Amino acid sequence: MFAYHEPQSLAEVTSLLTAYGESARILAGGTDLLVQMRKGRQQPHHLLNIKTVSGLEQIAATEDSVEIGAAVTLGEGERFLAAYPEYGVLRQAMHSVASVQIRHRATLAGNLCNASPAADTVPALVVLGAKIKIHGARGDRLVPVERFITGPGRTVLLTGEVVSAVVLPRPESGSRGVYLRKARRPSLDLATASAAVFAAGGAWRIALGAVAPTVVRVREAERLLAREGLSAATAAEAARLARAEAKPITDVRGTAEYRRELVAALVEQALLALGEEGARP
Amino acid sequence: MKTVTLTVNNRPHTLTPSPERTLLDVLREDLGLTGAKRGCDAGECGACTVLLNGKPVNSCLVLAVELSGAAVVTIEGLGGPDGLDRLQQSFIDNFALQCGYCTPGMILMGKALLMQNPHPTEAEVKEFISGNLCRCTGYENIVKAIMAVAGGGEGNG
Amino acid sequence: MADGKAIGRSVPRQDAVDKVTGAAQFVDDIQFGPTLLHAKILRSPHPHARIVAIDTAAAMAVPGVRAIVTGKDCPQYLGLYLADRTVYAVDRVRFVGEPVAGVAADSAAAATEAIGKIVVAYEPLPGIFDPVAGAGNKDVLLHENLGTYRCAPFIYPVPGTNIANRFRLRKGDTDKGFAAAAAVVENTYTVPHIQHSQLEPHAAAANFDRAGKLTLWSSSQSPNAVRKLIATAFGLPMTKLRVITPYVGGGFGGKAGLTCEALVVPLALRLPGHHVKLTLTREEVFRGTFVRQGLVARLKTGAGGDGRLAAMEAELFWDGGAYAEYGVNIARSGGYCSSGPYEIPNIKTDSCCVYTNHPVGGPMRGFGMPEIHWGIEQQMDMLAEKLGLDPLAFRRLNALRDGSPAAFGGPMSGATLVDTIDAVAARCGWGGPKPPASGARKARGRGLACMFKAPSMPPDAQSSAVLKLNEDGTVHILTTAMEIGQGSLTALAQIAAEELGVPVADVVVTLPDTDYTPYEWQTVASRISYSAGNAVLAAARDAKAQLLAVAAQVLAVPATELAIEDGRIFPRTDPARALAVSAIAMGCLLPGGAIGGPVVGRGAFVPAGITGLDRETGQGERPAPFWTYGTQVADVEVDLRTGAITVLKVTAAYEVGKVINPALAIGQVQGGIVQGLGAALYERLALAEGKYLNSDFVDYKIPTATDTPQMDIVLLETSPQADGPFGVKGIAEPTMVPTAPAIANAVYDAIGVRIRDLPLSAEKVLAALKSKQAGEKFVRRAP
Repeated sequence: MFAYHEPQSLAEVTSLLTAYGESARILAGGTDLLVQMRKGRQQPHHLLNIKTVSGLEQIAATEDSVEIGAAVTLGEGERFLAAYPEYGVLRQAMHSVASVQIRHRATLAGNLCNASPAADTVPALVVLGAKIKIHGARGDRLVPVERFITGPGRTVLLTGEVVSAVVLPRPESGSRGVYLRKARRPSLDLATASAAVFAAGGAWRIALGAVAPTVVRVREAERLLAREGLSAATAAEAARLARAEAKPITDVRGTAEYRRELVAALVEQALLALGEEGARP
Repeated sequence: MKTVTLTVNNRPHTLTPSPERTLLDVLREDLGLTGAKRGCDAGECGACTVLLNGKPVNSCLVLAVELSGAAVVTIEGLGGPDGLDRLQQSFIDNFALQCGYCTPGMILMGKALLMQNPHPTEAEVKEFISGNLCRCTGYENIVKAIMAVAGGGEGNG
Repeated sequence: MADGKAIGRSVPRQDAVDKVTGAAQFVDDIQFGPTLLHAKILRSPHPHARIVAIDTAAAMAVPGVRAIVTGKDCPQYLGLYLADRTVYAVDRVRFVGEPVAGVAADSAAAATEAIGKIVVAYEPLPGIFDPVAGAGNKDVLLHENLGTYRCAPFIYPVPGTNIANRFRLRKGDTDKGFAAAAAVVENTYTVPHIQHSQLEPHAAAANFDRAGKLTLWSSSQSPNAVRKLIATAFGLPMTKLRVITPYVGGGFGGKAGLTCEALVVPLALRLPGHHVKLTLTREEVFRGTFVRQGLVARLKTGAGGDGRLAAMEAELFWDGGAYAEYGVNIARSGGYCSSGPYEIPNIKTDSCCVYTNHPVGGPMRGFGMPEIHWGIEQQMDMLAEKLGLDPLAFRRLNALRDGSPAAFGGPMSGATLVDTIDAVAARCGWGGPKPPASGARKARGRGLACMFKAPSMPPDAQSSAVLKLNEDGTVHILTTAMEIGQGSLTALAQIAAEELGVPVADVVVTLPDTDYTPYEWQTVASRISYSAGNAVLAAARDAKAQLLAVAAQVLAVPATELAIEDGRIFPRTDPARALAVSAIAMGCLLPGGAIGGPVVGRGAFVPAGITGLDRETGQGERPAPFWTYGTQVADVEVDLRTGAITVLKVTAAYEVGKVINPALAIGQVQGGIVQGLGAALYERLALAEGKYLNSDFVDYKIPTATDTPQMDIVLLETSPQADGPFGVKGIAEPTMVPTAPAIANAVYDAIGVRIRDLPLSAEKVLAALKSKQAGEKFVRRAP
């Protein structure tokens, strides 16, 4: 049993989180938390519904950034980003999460805060250079997404802190990205491995999901692509580097070896897809 | 305990659910609306799908206390013996059901899809309903039933 | 058989309006009101352990708890073919998930809390986790008392071992057969446990009223079996036990026999006046109900230079799990059908159902046939390749035909495999050029598999039906055949309507209630249209005779000259002089007084001439009433980078004697193909030393809509079943049998890789492909 709270402001969230400490959990979409509670893996005494905090359900686009509130669902995010092709990589990642029904409840911030190694949106947020806006007793702070997640189920959030938004910087025009994943089944399944690639100007970013405790950047491949450009040969080499960079585990969803194979295939495929897209008029 | 006022199938209801109870619990146990089925209690099967403010959700993953002001539509809100919704009739005509356990969820998914995309492709239908498991039909007739209504213009529900 | 007014037509489902409106009630939908109590089950966390002590004191003290029961409260043994289990574990647990205690409480939360407070002291025991090792292990015995268990006369347990049933088949001389063979292939095939994954979790509710009568609501395929097993175990006369089955949300064998019903009975017996309801969670469905047995099949098959099969040997080790009460019969069916649908003169088969500390293996769609055909149909492809023959032509040459001797002896009749092979070949353009793959690093392939299946049931599995004519001429049919989605309500109504001459819309078949509906063995084995269909047909004939007798007097025309069509009775020579059926449904008042009386038809059926099989040789004549034959061709594409298989198209042909309702029959094939596809690509209950690695839909994946292939389905009626109503044979189970081996053969065609253990996961395919490529490189480098 737990008590249910409907805080009206971030300050109220922070004070409740401070008061209840570890026994409190934020309820955003609830699609993961409620399942964890049913399985007995989480037993909070207080649920704080942040959907009642005004403003968190908004997406704010400025010249510098797009700020996605912590209560924005994946479905809403997907629809909004349709007008921003440069964020296509994130839109694809959002669309990969679970089912239509889940995406109508689950939030981008929730997908991030769960800190699951297999979370679809995290590699995409990493290649976009997203920052996480955190509210706490001492005000707001911004943390790069790569530093936000510290391990499976672990983030840099301190007691009393809550994510208020995900901030996407505006990439230079013409930037493009691709997110690819492979799961056991084509629909409604957790990724066995995933890859996000992003090209902005002459710079490249490649991030891998589900092949290490946290998202892995393939910096050597990024440098190679920046140096030599995208070709079949550099894509294949990037794939090889991705395989080497991955540090996967073996579980019921796939062996470590298979995950390495997959992530290499996904990186190469994503790069080639980006190449083809770029070649189109 | 918190009091929640919502509408279910256009009828207003005032409830005071204990916080752990879900929309699915309340529909089935308090309101006698058992069309939404419990298949997995984890958002993996879609049998409990209802429309919440016009959008399909797994009612097993929505707490009832969160529903102040919400509008919920269940399969029971879709027509009755006197006048079936066109999609319900299409499920009958296309033999799109066998055991019937996934059927309410499937029909509501079909409604949701056609509301946002009146002329989906077959691939779009398949993807849209891929969060709803059916172990009997192999899905082919379900896709056909939704496509048949899509091809025939707007639904009347 | 020509189509009639009702038969052969795609009549809408009788249950369709109930199911599209949400009106259809399943057990958990029944709320029961203020007398409702919630049951929860404490289950074993150990695969094998002695129960040292159970302390329920703290659990009883939880507010709202009404009763707690454990194994010692109901220690009677029960089981369908072999009485080897108790309702709750008595002094030992044999699988993870075995019920240890049951709690009934005012709320589900209280019951759950109480479950957590029951303290059980276990002493873990060594376990058996592999049927091959288990068959030979005499040190770790799961059932020391195996020799004392009651069992059916055709089940042969081997006391002092873990073998719950051993079936042997000996025909001809396999040594001679192999000696003469030009090609021999020998392989081991494995099939993992899979779960039926019906969308409706099992549920049961029980009410013991103050007059001493027990009513049970059950999501069951077998209301009469539930009644019999529970009546026997709890010493209740059948007049004091009523079993009601509302709609069932999918069965596939997983709700056959007894599943969770008995768990609520001892609780209800202690709580007169209450309704004790148990609805399993999805995890409990995986852990606590039947799973499909695993199989290790060692197959050796040989053929002569003329392409004819010469000999085969099969060693089949079925993973029966902790209790084999129902599953023992799978070893028998798999044994006597171990040749597959082919004529083989020399056969030696040993088929053993072995106890393991795994979940309970029970019936699942196909009852052993998908499992044995997984190996048989790959053996056939391999032999054909060795002999340089087309796999389709090779199967055609060896197919059982009318009069062919079967593995178990007696000549086959209605053996129509060749018809299905030819139909599939024509529809899919077998032998045509291979279409190109959809992209680079992808490969296309096509594979074929055949099958046969008989209803696996006791030789005297009975059906019965009562037909009541109502005052308005409409008809109610009472049977205990269960609508589990297959459309039995509709098909049985069509049979009655056709025979009786009334519109099918006027015929309603009711759901089972054992106080009112007459006996039906079980809704399993694809036998309802055939067996219950015969009972309904007989009931309709009986009612028709009564109507005609009255009409003969009223119309003053001999009954033999009367016909009934569209609810009207008329002389064939003068159709205008018609009487409405409704006018004489209750008899007729004539000037000389009333005649007839309310029309009630009765029908009963038991198949005639089903024979046993010899204990030592498995030889007999006719162990089952019919075999259904079918062929499927799968077209697949393999992604060479990820190993992922996409099944593009399945072409299927089945010969079913007579199709009662084409849309329903095709729906069975569609569903069976996709279920077969799931078993082929994804499904495996992953067990590590008896513990589950996946027991929910997060990690046990069944197909979704995006997996559905294009399907082209042909139903043939070339050999109507002599004793089937209108010629009917069964179709439901055969539909999933050939899909997995057809896909495996297609994968081989695409990439030259043979996979012998299910499922064909992308990971496994990729690993096999890599090791093949490594081997080829090695060969190329070698001098």
